[in-house]
Amino acid sequence: MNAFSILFSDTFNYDRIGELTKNRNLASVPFGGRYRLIDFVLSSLVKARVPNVGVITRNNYSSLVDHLGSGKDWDLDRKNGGLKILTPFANNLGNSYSKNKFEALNSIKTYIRHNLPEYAILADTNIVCNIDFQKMVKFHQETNADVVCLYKKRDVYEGSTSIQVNENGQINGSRYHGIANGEQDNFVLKVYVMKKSFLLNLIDTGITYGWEEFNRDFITKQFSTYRIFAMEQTGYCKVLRNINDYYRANMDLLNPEIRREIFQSGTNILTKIKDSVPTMYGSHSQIKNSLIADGCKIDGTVENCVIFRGVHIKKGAVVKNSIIMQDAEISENCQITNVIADKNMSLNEGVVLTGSESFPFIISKNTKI
Amino acid sequence: MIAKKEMVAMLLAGGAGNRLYVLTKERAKPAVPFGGKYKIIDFPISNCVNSSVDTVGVLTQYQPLELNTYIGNGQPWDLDRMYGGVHILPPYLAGATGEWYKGTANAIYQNLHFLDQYDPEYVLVLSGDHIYKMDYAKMLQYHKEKDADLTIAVLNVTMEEASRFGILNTNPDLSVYEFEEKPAKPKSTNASMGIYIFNYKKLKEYLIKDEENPASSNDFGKDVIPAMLNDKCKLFAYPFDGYWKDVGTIDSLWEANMDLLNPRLPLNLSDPLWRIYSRHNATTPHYIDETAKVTDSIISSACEIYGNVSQSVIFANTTVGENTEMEYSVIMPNVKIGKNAKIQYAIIADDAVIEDGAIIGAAPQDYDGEWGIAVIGQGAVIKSGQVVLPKQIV
Repeated sequence: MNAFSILFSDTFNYDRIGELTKNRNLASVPFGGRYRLIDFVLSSLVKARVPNVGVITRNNYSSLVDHLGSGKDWDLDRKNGGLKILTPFANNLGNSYSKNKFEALNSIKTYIRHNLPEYAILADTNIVCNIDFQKMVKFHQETNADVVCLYKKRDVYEGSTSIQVNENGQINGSRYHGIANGEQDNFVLKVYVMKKSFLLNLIDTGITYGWEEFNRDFITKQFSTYRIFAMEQTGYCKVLRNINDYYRANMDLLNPEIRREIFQSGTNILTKIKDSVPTMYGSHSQIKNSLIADGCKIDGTVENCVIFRGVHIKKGAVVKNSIIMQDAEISENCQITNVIADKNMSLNEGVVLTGSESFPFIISKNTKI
Repeated sequence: MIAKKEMVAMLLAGGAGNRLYVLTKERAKPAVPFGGKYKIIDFPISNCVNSSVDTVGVLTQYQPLELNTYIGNGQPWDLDRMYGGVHILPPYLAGATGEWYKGTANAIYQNLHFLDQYDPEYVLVLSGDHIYKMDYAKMLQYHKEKDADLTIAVLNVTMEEASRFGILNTNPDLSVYEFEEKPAKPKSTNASMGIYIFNYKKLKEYLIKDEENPASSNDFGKDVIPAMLNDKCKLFAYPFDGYWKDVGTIDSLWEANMDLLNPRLPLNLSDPLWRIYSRHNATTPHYIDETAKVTDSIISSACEIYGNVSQSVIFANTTVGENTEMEYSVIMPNVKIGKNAKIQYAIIADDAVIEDGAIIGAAPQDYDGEWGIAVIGQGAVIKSGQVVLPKQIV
């Protein structure tokens, strides 16, 4: 496709998934048993044959670099283009950490200028859904728009701005919601398509006027100056802004329809390959309604869980309603309920950990109890 | 000019594997799936990589398409190298003289040009139908210490098994004085594992000699090794004592898969220092439903399990329907199994469809006829309520 993409590994807002983003950015938060959040939007880009993808990083990007590597597992280790990780001080324009998306884009102008494709796709990486980028670019051409974004009908959050869209798809109004009133409205998903030339001008305009946020300062305010169009994203789509979003979206994967929609609707969700063995179940294992990755050894009870690679759950241990990340060791007779355990947790015999469904207990990386 | 390599591996992967029946109808034996996510060939190739042998020729002949696609550029095994890496070597025409590989020795003979490119000191000859983990670097070290012309890895088998193998009779220093192919009355229990390290100069000399002999069957075991012994070349046995299994028959393939369910098996597949690599598809974690019961089993990615599974090995992307009972079975990738089916002591090959209520195989104690593993071939469809008897092959 005649487009390149720029992904934001951080939203430059205050979106934080608790302890999970202490040592990593949003893009590399583990999700769904074997993925990282960035895998979803990246896989949609690969499916749409977008040849060049630049990932903007700010700080804590070591785990992201580990995960993406050369881009090989997404077939993005290309001779021309492919994957590029855009580090904060990659060129002479970046002389301090970027504080917002416009500064970040301004610091990678060289990358944008050197990209040959005509269209630019900008996207956040904390979105779990399959996006049809070909359709977005086509819509951009058909409507002769300046910018096309995606929107989704969802519950109103406190402090969010919804948009109004006319019958042609053009944005013609916006509204700020001071309180969450239990209603639903149309909200922009932070995925944008525009021409490369328009993007370069827009960065200059944004820097001139001190814009910080695409959605807040541009889309929802400048719709009468520019031709801004929006396409509805149908089907399952979750933006993960905090720990509750994260917990619920993981649990959503236990629903067969949602699983099919995300994983089997034609977009292969690609991720880093690790040569782990298949999972082995022992004679005492009792598994109900759980999603379990490769490389685990399970001889205990597991109910309503998402279990990542290489987790060991020993005899007599009971794990319920929890998300257990890579390489955890859960010893005999532990009882774990409503827990989100970051990588490499190790529990001695008989440990009891209980969170609540609306407030899951988070265990930070490498915790030993 | 390509840089010289100390040792190049030649992997014989052209065998038809007739004793695996439908499982090798459309693919060579080394391409048969094994152990939940591997193919048989992953074992010798991973052993090569882990032993720092980075140049591997894979000799193909019988039904090579699946194998060629699988090996590709060798990237999953880290064998996409600038110098060396993995090469698929099919038989080819050379002027008027081209022909199929006539035997194991002839297959290497026809690729002497390939070996000459790398000008190796040593050549490692492997076969593609064994499950084992072995450090070939250690074997090479041994070969050098013994100053041997040929070193053959041997496994200590029982006297009863010995007559199924090539047996090496050795002196106390492990030098070989006699080689007997499948002897009726074996004199020792040192069975050849089909793993050879040759000095390349000697190998080349004997392959050329062997080719000139019209009476030869061009086989390592039958012709080349006896000829070298006859000429008093220095042959040594290299004893190996780990897990090794020939998976050339339905029974041994099934047994080797069942072995993996034994937690005390001396074949550790999750050793981070000796990984078995394989080509992956982008697949999701597997899902086990509320209605399912899974014990003593290996389950791979993207499976959806709604039935009862015990003592089984299930490969990627397989569905097992509600109320289906499965035990002691091997289910290869992309199999769809309906509801209320009963599957015992069976091997079901890739892409098969087992409709609701089908009955496949039976436990030996519940069956009066001639018992064996039931086998369903690639893409076969077993209709609703159909019965497949033990030992039957569909």
